Amino acid sequence: MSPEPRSALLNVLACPACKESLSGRGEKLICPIGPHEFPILRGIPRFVQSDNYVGSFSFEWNIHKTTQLDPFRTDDWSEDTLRKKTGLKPEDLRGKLVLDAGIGAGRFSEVMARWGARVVGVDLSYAVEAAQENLGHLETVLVAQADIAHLPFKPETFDVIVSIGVLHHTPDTRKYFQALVPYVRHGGIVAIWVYPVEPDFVTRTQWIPFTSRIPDRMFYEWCRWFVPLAGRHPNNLLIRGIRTVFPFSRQGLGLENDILDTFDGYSPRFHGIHTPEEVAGWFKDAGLVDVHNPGPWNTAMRGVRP
Amino acid sequence: MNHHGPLVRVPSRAASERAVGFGGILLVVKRFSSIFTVSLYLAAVGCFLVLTRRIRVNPAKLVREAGYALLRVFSQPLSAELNALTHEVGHCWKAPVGRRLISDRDGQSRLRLLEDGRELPHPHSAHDLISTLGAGRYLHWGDAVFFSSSDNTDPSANGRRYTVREI
Repeated sequence: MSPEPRSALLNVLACPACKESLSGRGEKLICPIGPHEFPILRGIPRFVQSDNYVGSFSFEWNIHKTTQLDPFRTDDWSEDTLRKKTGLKPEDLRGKLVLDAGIGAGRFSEVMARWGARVVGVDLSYAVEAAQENLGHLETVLVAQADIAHLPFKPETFDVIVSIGVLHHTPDTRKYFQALVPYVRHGGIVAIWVYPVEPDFVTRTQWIPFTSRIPDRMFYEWCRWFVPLAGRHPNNLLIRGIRTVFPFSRQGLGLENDILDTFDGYSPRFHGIHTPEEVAGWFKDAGLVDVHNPGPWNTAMRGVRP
Repeated sequence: MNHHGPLVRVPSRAASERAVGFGGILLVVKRFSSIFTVSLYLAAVGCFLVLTRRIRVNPAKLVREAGYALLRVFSQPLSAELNALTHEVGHCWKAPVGRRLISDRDGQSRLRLLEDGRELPHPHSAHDLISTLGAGRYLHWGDAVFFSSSDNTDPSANGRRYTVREI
Protein backbone atom coordinates (compact mmCIF):
# COMPACT_ATOMS: atom_id res chain seq x y z
CA MET A 1 0.00 0.00 0.00
CA SER A 2 1.28 3.45 -0.85
CA PRO A 3 1.85 5.65 2.20
CA GLU A 4 1.21 8.88 0.25
CA PRO A 5 -1.17 9.57 -2.62
CA ARG A 6 0.36 10.54 -5.96
CA SER A 7 1.53 14.15 -5.87
CA ALA A 8 0.76 14.85 -9.54
CA LEU A 9 -2.83 13.77 -9.12
CA LEU A 10 -3.06 15.45 -5.71
CA ASN A 11 -2.94 18.76 -7.56
CA VAL A 12 -6.33 17.90 -9.03
CA LEU A 13 -7.95 18.08 -5.60
CA ALA A 14 -9.71 21.25 -4.49
CA CYS A 15 -11.72 22.32 -1.48
CA PRO A 16 -15.28 20.98 -1.94
CA ALA A 17 -16.68 24.22 -0.48
CA CYS A 18 -14.41 26.96 -1.87
CA LYS A 19 -13.15 25.17 -5.01
CA GLU A 20 -9.63 26.45 -4.34
CA SER A 21 -6.54 24.26 -4.83
CA LEU A 22 -5.43 22.60 -1.64
CA SER A 23 -1.96 22.76 -0.24
CA GLY A 24 -0.44 19.82 1.56
CA ARG A 25 0.93 20.09 5.06
CA GLY A 26 2.02 16.86 6.66
CA GLU A 27 -0.92 14.52 6.74
CA LYS A 28 -3.42 17.24 5.85
CA LEU A 29 -4.70 19.12 2.85
CA ILE A 30 -5.48 22.73 3.67
CA CYS A 31 -7.80 25.16 1.94
CA PRO A 32 -6.09 28.56 1.40
CA ILE A 33 -9.34 30.52 1.83
CA GLY A 34 -11.75 28.89 4.23
CA PRO A 35 -11.14 27.16 7.53
CA HIS A 36 -11.22 23.79 5.83
CA GLU A 37 -8.68 21.04 6.20
CA PHE A 38 -8.83 17.45 5.15
CA PRO A 39 -6.81 14.58 6.58
CA ILE A 40 -4.86 12.05 4.55
CA LEU A 41 -5.28 8.72 6.28
CA ARG A 42 -3.46 5.62 5.05
CA GLY A 43 -2.58 7.49 1.87
CA ILE A 44 -6.21 8.45 1.14
CA PRO A 45 -7.42 12.07 1.23
CA ARG A 46 -10.70 12.19 3.19
CA PHE A 47 -13.40 14.71 2.41
CA VAL A 48 -16.16 13.13 4.49
CA GLN A 49 -16.40 12.31 8.16
CA SER A 50 -18.08 8.92 7.78
CA ASP A 51 -19.49 6.56 5.20
CA ASN A 52 -22.97 7.94 5.88
CA TYR A 53 -25.65 5.82 4.13
CA VAL A 54 -23.31 3.41 2.33
CA GLY A 55 -22.13 1.23 5.21
CA SER A 56 -23.06 -1.93 3.31
CA PHE A 57 -20.55 -1.03 0.59
CA SER A 58 -17.85 -0.38 3.17
CA PHE A 59 -18.58 -3.86 4.46
CA GLU A 60 -18.76 -5.78 1.18
CA TRP A 61 -15.78 -4.25 -0.62
CA ASN A 62 -13.49 -4.80 2.33
CA ILE A 63 -14.39 -8.48 2.30
CA HIS A 64 -14.44 -8.92 -1.47
CA LYS A 65 -11.45 -6.71 -2.21
CA THR A 66 -10.37 -8.60 -5.28
CA THR A 67 -13.40 -10.68 -6.32
CA GLN A 68 -14.20 -8.52 -9.34
CA LEU A 69 -10.73 -7.31 -10.31
CA ASP A 70 -9.48 -8.75 -13.59
CA PRO A 71 -5.86 -9.37 -12.51
CA PHE A 72 -7.10 -11.47 -9.59
CA ARG A 73 -9.85 -13.19 -11.57
CA THR A 74 -7.41 -13.78 -14.43
CA ASP A 75 -10.07 -12.95 -16.98
CA ASP A 76 -11.30 -9.75 -18.63
CA TRP A 77 -14.79 -9.53 -17.18
CA SER A 78 -14.40 -6.01 -15.77
CA GLU A 79 -12.74 -4.80 -18.96
CA ASP A 80 -15.54 -6.30 -21.04
CA THR A 81 -18.17 -4.75 -18.76
CA LEU A 82 -16.48 -1.35 -18.96
CA ARG A 83 -16.41 -1.53 -22.75
CA LYS A 84 -20.06 -2.57 -23.00
CA LYS A 85 -21.44 -0.13 -20.45
CA THR A 86 -19.46 2.92 -21.60
CA GLY A 87 -18.42 2.18 -25.17
CA LEU A 88 -14.94 3.40 -24.16
CA LYS A 89 -11.84 1.89 -25.72
CA PRO A 90 -8.17 2.14 -24.67
CA GLU A 91 -7.49 4.78 -27.32
CA ASP A 92 -10.28 6.97 -25.87
CA LEU A 93 -8.61 7.07 -22.48
CA ARG A 94 -4.87 6.97 -23.12
CA GLY A 95 -3.30 9.97 -21.36
CA LYS A 96 -6.71 11.29 -20.29
CA LEU A 97 -7.71 12.40 -16.80
CA VAL A 98 -10.67 10.28 -15.72
CA LEU A 99 -12.96 10.46 -12.70
CA ASP A 100 -14.31 7.11 -11.51
CA ALA A 101 -17.30 8.24 -9.45
CA GLY A 102 -17.92 5.36 -7.04
CA ILE A 103 -14.68 3.46 -7.33
CA GLY A 104 -15.66 0.56 -5.03
CA ALA A 105 -12.73 -1.82 -4.81
CA GLY A 106 -11.34 -0.35 -8.03
CA ARG A 107 -12.36 -2.86 -10.71
CA PHE A 108 -12.94 -0.28 -13.45
CA SER A 109 -10.17 2.10 -12.37
CA GLU A 110 -7.73 -0.78 -12.67
CA VAL A 111 -8.82 -1.32 -16.29
CA MET A 112 -8.69 2.39 -17.15
CA ALA A 113 -5.23 2.76 -15.58
CA ARG A 114 -4.12 -0.28 -17.56
CA TRP A 115 -5.40 1.46 -20.69
CA GLY A 116 -3.14 4.44 -19.94
CA ALA A 117 -5.54 6.85 -18.24
CA ARG A 118 -4.77 8.91 -15.14
CA VAL A 119 -7.59 8.00 -12.81
CA VAL A 120 -9.04 9.70 -9.77
CA GLY A 121 -11.44 7.38 -7.97
CA VAL A 122 -13.80 8.63 -5.29
CA ASP A 123 -16.19 6.76 -3.05
CA LEU A 124 -18.26 7.75 -0.05
CA SER A 125 -17.74 4.36 1.55
CA TYR A 126 -14.69 2.81 3.16
CA ALA A 127 -14.37 0.80 -0.05
CA VAL A 128 -11.60 3.33 -0.66
CA GLU A 129 -9.45 1.24 1.70
CA ALA A 130 -9.82 -1.74 -0.63
CA ALA A 131 -9.27 0.41 -3.72
CA GLN A 132 -6.11 1.89 -2.20
CA GLU A 133 -4.84 -1.56 -1.34
CA ASN A 134 -5.50 -2.75 -4.90
CA LEU A 135 -4.37 0.34 -6.82
CA GLY A 136 -2.28 2.44 -4.42
CA HIS A 137 0.92 1.18 -6.02
CA LEU A 138 -0.01 2.69 -9.39
CA GLU A 139 1.49 6.09 -10.19
CA THR A 140 -1.52 7.01 -12.27
CA VAL A 141 -4.29 6.37 -9.75
CA LEU A 142 -5.45 8.52 -6.85
CA VAL A 143 -8.14 7.30 -4.46
CA ALA A 144 -10.12 9.74 -2.31
CA GLN A 145 -13.06 9.37 0.05
CA ALA A 146 -15.66 11.92 -0.98
CA ASP A 147 -19.34 12.45 -1.63
CA ILE A 148 -20.46 12.87 -5.24
CA ALA A 149 -22.72 15.72 -4.09
CA HIS A 150 -19.66 17.66 -2.80
CA LEU A 151 -16.76 16.64 -4.98
CA PRO A 152 -13.29 17.94 -4.15
CA PHE A 153 -12.40 19.25 -7.62
CA LYS A 154 -12.57 22.44 -9.62
CA PRO A 155 -15.19 22.52 -12.37
CA GLU A 156 -14.11 21.24 -15.81
CA THR A 157 -11.28 19.16 -14.40
CA PHE A 158 -11.78 15.83 -16.14
CA ASP A 159 -11.62 14.59 -19.71
CA VAL A 160 -13.92 11.68 -18.93
CA ILE A 161 -16.28 10.87 -16.06
CA VAL A 162 -17.36 7.29 -15.57
CA SER A 163 -19.88 6.04 -13.02
CA ILE A 164 -20.99 2.45 -13.39
CA GLY A 165 -23.56 1.00 -11.02
CA VAL A 166 -23.26 3.76 -8.45
CA LEU A 167 -25.69 6.65 -8.88
CA HIS A 168 -28.80 4.52 -8.21
CA HIS A 169 -27.43 3.98 -4.68
CA THR A 170 -27.63 7.71 -3.89
CA PRO A 171 -30.74 9.37 -2.42
CA ASP A 172 -31.59 10.95 -5.80
CA THR A 173 -30.06 9.40 -8.91
CA ARG A 174 -30.86 12.32 -11.21
CA LYS A 175 -29.61 14.98 -8.81
CA TYR A 176 -26.34 13.17 -8.18
CA PHE A 177 -25.84 12.67 -11.92
CA GLN A 178 -26.32 16.41 -12.43
CA ALA A 179 -23.74 17.06 -9.71
CA LEU A 180 -21.14 15.17 -11.76
CA VAL A 181 -21.53 16.99 -15.06
CA PRO A 182 -19.83 20.33 -14.18
CA TYR A 183 -16.59 18.49 -13.49
CA VAL A 184 -16.10 17.31 -17.07
CA ARG A 185 -14.38 19.73 -19.44
CA HIS A 186 -16.05 20.98 -22.61
CA GLY A 187 -15.68 18.25 -25.22
CA GLY A 188 -15.32 15.64 -22.47
CA ILE A 189 -17.34 12.45 -22.06
CA VAL A 190 -19.75 11.41 -19.32
CA ALA A 191 -20.70 7.71 -19.24
CA ILE A 192 -22.91 6.04 -16.66
CA TRP A 193 -24.89 2.89 -16.07
CA VAL A 194 -27.78 2.66 -13.63
CA TYR A 195 -30.18 -0.14 -12.69
CA PRO A 196 -32.89 -0.69 -15.31
CA VAL A 197 -36.61 -1.19 -14.76
CA GLU A 198 -36.41 -4.94 -15.39
CA PRO A 199 -38.11 -7.79 -13.49
CA ASP A 200 -35.30 -8.79 -11.11
CA PHE A 201 -34.50 -5.17 -10.29
CA VAL A 202 -38.19 -4.32 -9.76
CA THR A 203 -38.56 -7.28 -7.40
CA ARG A 204 -35.44 -6.29 -5.50
CA THR A 205 -36.76 -2.76 -5.08
CA GLN A 206 -39.67 -4.23 -3.09
CA TRP A 207 -37.29 -6.10 -0.81
CA ILE A 208 -34.86 -3.25 -0.15
CA PRO A 209 -36.82 -1.47 2.64
CA PHE A 210 -36.74 -4.75 4.58
CA THR A 211 -33.40 -6.31 3.68
CA SER A 212 -31.39 -3.10 4.05
CA ARG A 213 -32.38 -3.10 7.73
CA ILE A 214 -30.74 -6.44 8.42
CA PRO A 215 -27.33 -5.89 10.04
CA ASP A 216 -24.70 -6.29 7.32
CA ARG A 217 -22.80 -9.02 9.10
CA MET A 218 -25.95 -11.13 9.63
CA PHE A 219 -27.18 -10.73 6.08
CA TYR A 220 -23.74 -11.50 4.70
CA GLU A 221 -23.52 -14.69 6.78
CA TRP A 222 -26.90 -15.65 5.37
CA CYS A 223 -25.77 -15.00 1.78
CA ARG A 224 -22.65 -17.09 2.42
CA TRP A 225 -24.89 -19.96 3.50
CA PHE A 226 -27.77 -19.64 1.05
CA VAL A 227 -26.09 -18.79 -2.28
CA PRO A 228 -23.80 -21.86 -2.33
CA LEU A 229 -26.72 -24.05 -1.20
CA ALA A 230 -28.91 -22.72 -4.02
CA GLY A 231 -26.04 -23.15 -6.46
CA ARG A 232 -25.73 -26.83 -5.55
CA HIS A 233 -29.43 -27.44 -6.24
CA PRO A 234 -30.29 -25.15 -9.16
CA ASN A 235 -33.16 -27.33 -10.38
CA ASN A 236 -34.75 -27.94 -7.02
CA LEU A 237 -38.36 -26.80 -7.18
CA LEU A 238 -38.16 -24.95 -3.86
CA ILE A 239 -34.95 -23.13 -4.86
CA ARG A 240 -36.53 -22.15 -8.17
CA GLY A 241 -39.62 -20.93 -6.34
CA ILE A 242 -37.48 -18.86 -3.98
CA ARG A 243 -35.63 -17.42 -6.95
CA THR A 244 -38.91 -16.20 -8.45
CA VAL A 245 -39.67 -14.21 -5.33
CA PHE A 246 -36.11 -13.45 -4.24
CA PRO A 247 -33.87 -13.24 -7.33
CA PHE A 248 -30.40 -14.09 -6.07
CA SER A 249 -27.28 -13.85 -8.17
CA ARG A 250 -26.26 -16.64 -10.50
CA GLN A 251 -23.96 -14.95 -12.97
CA GLY A 252 -21.76 -17.93 -13.74
CA LEU A 253 -18.69 -15.93 -12.73
CA GLY A 254 -17.81 -17.82 -9.61
CA LEU A 255 -19.40 -18.50 -6.25
CA GLU A 256 -17.65 -15.61 -4.47
CA ASN A 257 -19.04 -13.22 -7.07
CA ASP A 258 -22.55 -14.62 -6.64
CA ILE A 259 -22.36 -14.21 -2.86
CA LEU A 260 -21.06 -10.66 -3.25
CA ASP A 261 -23.64 -9.78 -5.88
CA THR A 262 -26.54 -11.13 -3.83
CA PHE A 263 -25.44 -9.16 -0.78
CA ASP A 264 -24.83 -6.11 -2.98
CA GLY A 265 -28.29 -6.39 -4.51
CA TYR A 266 -30.27 -6.39 -1.27
CA SER A 267 -28.23 -4.53 1.33
CA PRO A 268 -27.98 -0.91 0.09
CA ARG A 269 -30.23 1.74 1.56
CA PHE A 270 -31.05 3.23 -1.84
CA HIS A 271 -31.84 1.19 -4.95
CA GLY A 272 -33.17 3.33 -7.79
CA ILE A 273 -34.38 1.81 -11.05
CA HIS A 274 -34.68 3.80 -14.25
CA THR A 275 -35.77 3.61 -17.86
CA PRO A 276 -33.44 4.37 -20.79
CA GLU A 277 -35.65 7.33 -21.75
CA GLU A 278 -35.37 8.74 -18.25
CA VAL A 279 -31.57 8.45 -18.27
CA ALA A 280 -31.28 9.98 -21.74
CA GLY A 281 -33.49 12.82 -20.46
CA TRP A 282 -31.03 13.59 -17.64
CA PHE A 283 -28.20 13.86 -20.15
CA LYS A 284 -30.17 16.20 -22.39
CA ASP A 285 -31.35 18.32 -19.45
CA ALA A 286 -27.72 18.67 -18.39
CA GLY A 287 -26.92 20.07 -21.84
CA LEU A 288 -24.95 17.05 -23.03
CA VAL A 289 -24.93 16.18 -26.72
CA ASP A 290 -24.33 13.03 -28.76
CA VAL A 291 -26.34 11.18 -26.12
CA HIS A 292 -26.56 7.50 -26.90
CA ASN A 293 -26.60 4.02 -25.47
CA PRO A 294 -23.17 2.59 -26.22
CA GLY A 295 -23.94 -1.11 -25.93
CA PRO A 296 -26.29 -3.90 -24.96
CA TRP A 297 -27.17 -2.52 -21.50
CA ASN A 298 -30.15 -0.32 -22.15
CA THR A 299 -29.68 2.04 -19.19
CA ALA A 300 -26.03 2.60 -20.04
CA MET A 301 -25.77 6.13 -21.43
CA ARG A 302 -23.01 8.31 -22.73
CA GLY A 303 -22.84 11.94 -23.78
CA VAL A 304 -20.44 14.77 -24.57
CA ARG A 305 -20.32 18.18 -22.92
CA PRO A 306 -20.38 20.70 -25.80
CA MET B 1 -12.60 17.15 9.70
CA ASN B 2 -10.51 14.78 11.68
CA HIS B 3 -13.15 12.53 13.06
CA HIS B 4 -13.49 9.22 11.29
CA GLY B 5 -15.67 6.28 12.10
CA PRO B 6 -14.02 2.96 12.68
CA LEU B 7 -13.13 0.96 9.63
CA VAL B 8 -15.24 -2.10 9.02
CA ARG B 9 -13.89 -5.17 10.64
CA VAL B 10 -13.72 -8.07 8.26
CA PRO B 11 -15.07 -11.23 9.86
CA SER B 12 -12.67 -14.08 9.53
CA ARG B 13 -14.57 -17.24 8.79
CA ALA B 14 -11.40 -19.24 8.57
CA ALA B 15 -10.50 -18.20 12.10
CA SER B 16 -13.96 -19.06 13.40
CA GLU B 17 -13.83 -22.45 11.72
CA ARG B 18 -10.45 -23.15 13.24
CA ALA B 19 -11.67 -22.30 16.69
CA VAL B 20 -12.07 -25.37 18.86
CA GLY B 21 -13.68 -26.25 22.14
CA PHE B 22 -16.46 -24.38 23.85
CA GLY B 23 -15.65 -21.09 22.12
CA GLY B 24 -15.82 -22.83 18.76
CA ILE B 25 -19.19 -24.38 19.54
CA LEU B 26 -20.49 -21.00 20.64
CA LEU B 27 -19.36 -19.46 17.35
CA VAL B 28 -21.10 -22.18 15.34
CA VAL B 29 -24.31 -21.81 17.37
CA LYS B 30 -24.15 -18.05 16.95
CA ARG B 31 -23.65 -18.38 13.21
CA PHE B 32 -26.53 -20.78 12.71
CA SER B 33 -28.89 -18.84 14.95
CA SER B 34 -28.04 -15.77 12.87
CA ILE B 35 -28.76 -17.65 9.62
CA PHE B 36 -31.98 -19.07 11.08
CA THR B 37 -33.15 -15.64 12.24
CA VAL B 38 -32.47 -14.03 8.86
CA SER B 39 -34.16 -16.94 7.04
CA LEU B 40 -37.24 -16.55 9.21
CA TYR B 41 -37.30 -12.80 8.67
CA LEU B 42 -36.89 -13.16 4.88
CA ALA B 43 -39.61 -15.82 4.74
CA ALA B 44 -42.00 -13.50 6.61
CA VAL B 45 -41.13 -10.53 4.38
CA GLY B 46 -41.44 -12.72 1.27
CA CYS B 47 -44.93 -13.87 2.32
CA PHE B 48 -45.91 -10.28 3.04
CA LEU B 49 -44.67 -9.07 -0.36
CA VAL B 50 -46.44 -11.88 -2.21
CA LEU B 51 -49.70 -11.61 -0.27
CA THR B 52 -49.83 -7.85 -0.73
CA ARG B 53 -49.03 -8.39 -4.42
CA ARG B 54 -45.97 -6.16 -4.30
CA ILE B 55 -44.21 -9.12 -5.86
CA ARG B 56 -46.35 -10.84 -8.47
CA VAL B 57 -46.21 -14.59 -8.68
CA ASN B 58 -48.21 -16.69 -11.05
CA PRO B 59 -49.73 -19.62 -9.08
CA ALA B 60 -50.65 -21.38 -12.33
CA LYS B 61 -47.01 -21.28 -13.38
CA LEU B 62 -45.90 -22.77 -10.08
CA VAL B 63 -48.44 -25.61 -10.42
CA ARG B 64 -47.34 -26.17 -14.02
CA GLU B 65 -43.69 -26.29 -12.98
CA ALA B 66 -44.53 -28.83 -10.27
CA GLY B 67 -46.38 -30.87 -12.90
CA TYR B 68 -43.41 -30.78 -15.24
CA ALA B 69 -41.12 -31.83 -12.40
CA LEU B 70 -43.37 -34.82 -11.72
CA LEU B 71 -43.55 -35.71 -15.41
CA ARG B 72 -39.78 -35.64 -15.71
CA VAL B 73 -39.50 -38.33 -13.06
CA PHE B 74 -41.45 -40.72 -15.29
CA SER B 75 -40.34 -39.65 -18.77
CA GLN B 76 -37.36 -40.85 -20.80
CA PRO B 77 -34.42 -38.42 -21.09
CA LEU B 78 -34.63 -36.40 -24.28
CA SER B 79 -32.43 -37.37 -27.21
CA ALA B 80 -33.21 -35.66 -30.51
CA GLU B 81 -31.77 -34.09 -33.61
CA LEU B 82 -31.89 -30.32 -33.95
CA ASN B 83 -33.84 -29.06 -36.92
CA ALA B 84 -35.15 -25.69 -38.08
CA LEU B 85 -31.90 -23.87 -37.37
CA THR B 86 -32.11 -20.11 -37.63
CA HIS B 87 -29.27 -17.60 -37.56
CA GLU B 88 -29.35 -15.23 -34.57
CA VAL B 89 -26.29 -12.95 -34.56
CA GLY B 90 -22.56 -13.43 -35.11
CA HIS B 91 -21.68 -17.09 -34.58
CA CYS B 92 -24.93 -17.77 -32.74
CA TRP B 93 -27.64 -20.03 -34.12
CA LYS B 94 -30.95 -21.02 -32.60
CA ALA B 95 -32.92 -24.26 -32.70
CA PRO B 96 -36.08 -25.34 -30.88
CA VAL B 97 -35.69 -28.18 -28.39
CA GLY B 98 -39.15 -29.61 -28.78
CA ARG B 99 -39.87 -30.53 -25.19
CA ARG B 100 -40.36 -28.48 -22.02
CA LEU B 101 -37.25 -29.01 -19.89
CA ILE B 102 -35.51 -27.04 -17.19
CA SER B 103 -33.34 -24.60 -19.09
CA ASP B 104 -30.58 -22.28 -17.93
CA ARG B 105 -33.26 -19.63 -17.61
CA ASP B 106 -35.11 -21.58 -14.94
CA GLY B 107 -32.32 -23.50 -13.25
CA GLN B 108 -29.43 -25.43 -14.70
CA SER B 109 -30.02 -27.17 -17.99
CA ARG B 110 -29.16 -30.86 -18.24
CA LEU B 111 -29.14 -30.70 -22.01
CA ARG B 112 -25.91 -31.45 -23.85
CA LEU B 113 -25.32 -30.55 -27.47
CA LEU B 114 -23.43 -32.92 -29.73
CA GLU B 115 -21.83 -32.19 -33.10
CA ASP B 116 -21.54 -35.38 -35.14
CA GLY B 117 -21.82 -37.31 -31.88
CA ARG B 118 -19.11 -35.32 -30.06
CA GLU B 119 -20.17 -33.15 -27.18
CA LEU B 120 -19.55 -29.44 -27.69
CA PRO B 121 -17.32 -27.99 -24.98
CA HIS B 122 -19.06 -25.03 -23.34
CA PRO B 123 -22.64 -25.48 -22.04
CA HIS B 124 -24.39 -22.65 -20.09
CA SER B 125 -22.44 -19.98 -22.02
CA ALA B 126 -23.58 -16.37 -22.07
CA HIS B 127 -25.45 -15.36 -25.22
CA ASP B 128 -22.98 -12.65 -26.18
CA LEU B 129 -20.03 -15.03 -25.83
CA ILE B 130 -21.74 -17.49 -28.15
CA SER B 131 -22.20 -14.79 -30.77
CA THR B 132 -18.78 -13.13 -30.40
CA LEU B 133 -16.47 -16.08 -29.60
CA GLY B 134 -18.51 -19.10 -30.69
CA ALA B 135 -16.23 -22.17 -30.82
CA GLY B 136 -18.85 -24.61 -29.54
CA ARG B 137 -20.37 -22.43 -26.84
CA TYR B 138 -24.06 -23.00 -26.25
CA LEU B 139 -26.95 -22.15 -23.99
CA HIS B 140 -30.28 -23.84 -23.34
CA TRP B 141 -32.71 -20.98 -22.75
CA GLY B 142 -36.46 -21.51 -22.51
CA ASP B 143 -37.53 -23.85 -25.29
CA ALA B 144 -34.52 -23.30 -27.56
CA VAL B 145 -30.82 -23.95 -27.80
CA PHE B 146 -28.54 -21.05 -28.77
CA PHE B 147 -25.30 -22.44 -30.05
CA SER B 148 -22.24 -22.11 -32.25
CA SER B 149 -20.46 -24.83 -34.21
CA SER B 150 -17.03 -25.97 -33.01
CA ASP B 151 -15.25 -24.06 -35.81
CA ASN B 152 -17.81 -21.27 -36.21
CA THR B 153 -18.98 -22.57 -39.58
CA ASP B 154 -22.64 -22.32 -40.53
CA PRO B 155 -24.28 -25.33 -38.81
CA SER B 156 -27.10 -25.37 -41.32
CA ALA B 157 -24.66 -25.84 -44.20
CA ASN B 158 -21.52 -27.50 -42.80
CA GLY B 159 -22.96 -30.98 -43.26
CA ARG B 160 -22.71 -31.94 -39.60
CA ARG B 161 -25.44 -33.42 -37.49
CA TYR B 162 -26.46 -31.59 -34.31
CA THR B 163 -28.22 -33.54 -31.60
CA VAL B 164 -29.22 -32.83 -28.01
CA ARG B 165 -29.17 -35.31 -25.18
CA GLU B 166 -30.51 -34.90 -21.68
CA ILE B 167 -28.08 -36.18 -19.08
